[in-house]
Amino acid sequence: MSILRGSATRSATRRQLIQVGAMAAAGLMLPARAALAQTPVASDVSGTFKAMSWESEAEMRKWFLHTEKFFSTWYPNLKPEIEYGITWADYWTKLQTTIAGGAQMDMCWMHDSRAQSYANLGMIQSLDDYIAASPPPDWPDAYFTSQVDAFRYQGSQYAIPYDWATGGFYINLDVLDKAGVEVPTAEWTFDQLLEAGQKIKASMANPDDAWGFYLPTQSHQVDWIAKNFGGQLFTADPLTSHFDDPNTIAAFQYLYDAIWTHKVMPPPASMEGMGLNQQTAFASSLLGIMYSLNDEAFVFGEIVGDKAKWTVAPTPTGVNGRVQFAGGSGFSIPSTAKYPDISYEYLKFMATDPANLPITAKMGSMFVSRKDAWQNAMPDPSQVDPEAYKQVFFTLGEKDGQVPLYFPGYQQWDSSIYVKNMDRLWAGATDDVAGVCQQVHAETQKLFESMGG
Amino acid sequence: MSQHNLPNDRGRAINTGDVLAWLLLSVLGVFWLMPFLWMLSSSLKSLAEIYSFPPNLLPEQLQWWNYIDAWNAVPFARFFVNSVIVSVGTTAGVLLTSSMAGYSFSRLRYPGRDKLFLAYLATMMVPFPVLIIPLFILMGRVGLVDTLIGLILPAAFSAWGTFLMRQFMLSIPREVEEAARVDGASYWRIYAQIILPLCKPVIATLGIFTFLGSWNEFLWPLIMISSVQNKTLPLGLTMFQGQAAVETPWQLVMAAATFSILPVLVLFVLGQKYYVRGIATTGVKG
Repeated sequence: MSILRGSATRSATRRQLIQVGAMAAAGLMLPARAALAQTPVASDVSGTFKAMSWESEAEMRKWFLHTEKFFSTWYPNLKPEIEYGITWADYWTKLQTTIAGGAQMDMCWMHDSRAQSYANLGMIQSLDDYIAASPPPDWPDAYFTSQVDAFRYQGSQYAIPYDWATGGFYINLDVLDKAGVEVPTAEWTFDQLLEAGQKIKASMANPDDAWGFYLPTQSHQVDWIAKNFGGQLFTADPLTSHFDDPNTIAAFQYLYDAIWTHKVMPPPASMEGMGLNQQTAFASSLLGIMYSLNDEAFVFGEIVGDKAKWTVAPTPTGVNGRVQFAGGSGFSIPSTAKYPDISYEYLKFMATDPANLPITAKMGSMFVSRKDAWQNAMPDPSQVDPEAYKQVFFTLGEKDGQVPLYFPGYQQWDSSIYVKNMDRLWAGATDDVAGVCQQVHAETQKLFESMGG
Repeated sequence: MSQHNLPNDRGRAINTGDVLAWLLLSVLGVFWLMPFLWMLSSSLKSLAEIYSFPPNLLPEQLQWWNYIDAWNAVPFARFFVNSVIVSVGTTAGVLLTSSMAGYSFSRLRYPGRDKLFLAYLATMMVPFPVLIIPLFILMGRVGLVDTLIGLILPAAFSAWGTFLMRQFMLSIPREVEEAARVDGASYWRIYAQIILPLCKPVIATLGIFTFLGSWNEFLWPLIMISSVQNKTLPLGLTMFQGQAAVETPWQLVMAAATFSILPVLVLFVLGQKYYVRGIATTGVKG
């Protein structure tokens, strides 16, 4: 039972936990730290509780609501100081410096793409003892499995997920109508997508500066495409590169051909040269089908305005079944936490309190980490068809969603190996897809060997 | 006099080359002005218009309230005050320490002076990112993390500023100083009343460069400042930005960026002469 369900149940719960704490103190088998997690917190604990977030000023409002409730109810003498409004890229520089510098940091926002690296460096703490002593309600069954697993490193849990995002297609209906192309379904193959892209491009007034579809080329977003082609980028235990797998190469060949052979997909440099990004191209009806995450649906109404009609659709099915991108964020306890026990209670409260979930889901534009709270994360029907949104991002996402393998040092690998080599393909500097993939494979394997396997 | 050789108001003949140069410079001027104009234009657009293609330089409907929304969304007045405190404090610190060190390295004679100067100059070779964690730990130990003093203090010592002051002071005739010494002036008095007044041009140059650098400084404040009330303008500007670019209200970011550069713009207009001279003197890119 959570100690943080709400004020109505708080007294009884706290009494129960006092008993648990007393038993632990008397020498029952709970580990010391786990006992602390369950021990009722002394409401007279005073000081400053420090946390760090990448959220913008607007997104932060919901967390302040929950924070205010938590601290005013249980720790009125503990002053929370949450640092926010740091851009995504700068956040990691700051978090790493702060922890490496030994400064107090009691809680931090964590992302699945970074969790393993931070856990490997000992910068965040394992939550296993806390979870064993006082698990979040219905843990882990009620939570998206892919997201729970994404925050595990060497068998330990390093974050409690608070949100979950999936990928899908945004469809410019005006463009598809003009091209005579149906809205994609989950049964579409990648060949059908290519065919649709060619039709869309041909139907444009100026086909040279317009495109059929946009698929991502970043490493973490290519992962699901490679899996649909029957390949993969890496496997764990031991870490192994699969960039030399013919199916993985076929996925990159598909992307290369879409950009340079069929010219149905915009090369990044060409879009930049026109002062465009994919959202602008989509909103201006220069792009028919655009891949992105579910949260963009919440801002697309404002971005597209009345320039075009749009909806959402599933990504295609590959030769070995269907895989969809999934990912998300969580809360972790840094190694420099002064109040790690309170931090666990706080992050559990923020991520799982039923009273928080509707607010978090609505303001965060994401599905929250609990599967049963999906309906709180639905966009306004005036923006996009809720049924289509649910089908594409929730139902299929839950069924087919997979988080990429973000091994420790992933970001370094991405910039020093993947981007360095693959940018030559996306820029059209070479057409040797297999050669580039083999090069990435060789360099990646060398890196893995230097990491000890 | 041919029609290609007209006199200008100073009596010098204007030739075709001059006209071509002006034309070229005008085109380049507009080209260089474009980012600023684009920022101004985007600050007055709706988000939907920002995401339109082809883009329009002139907004369809002026959204003046973007400025009000941006100003009210985060405490920009506080950020302004913080930026002014940090920039003025840093500039004053750099001018004081650099001029004193420059005076010492250029006018005083003592054993190891030049080696000491070279050692100080060599600190310019150490990239700042390497120093961040040790400096952060140091600031933490003296209790200056998340304070404006913590931003000013490490920046108040500049090897480059010292170099600049020393080189300028070396050009001042030694006779001036010797005359003062004959009159019984102390080293301090010579520095304060003889040398410094002669260094006004280099002080202005160093002051402007330091102020602009401090005003735009991002990395060190990012690491050091954690509370909203101590944020400077560059940090405040990032408070609008969402995790994904598409979640960012760019019209508010552009409005905030526009009013954040106004003080710098005023400073530049007032001290343009010294800024340009500084670039010419030091070879530093503007």
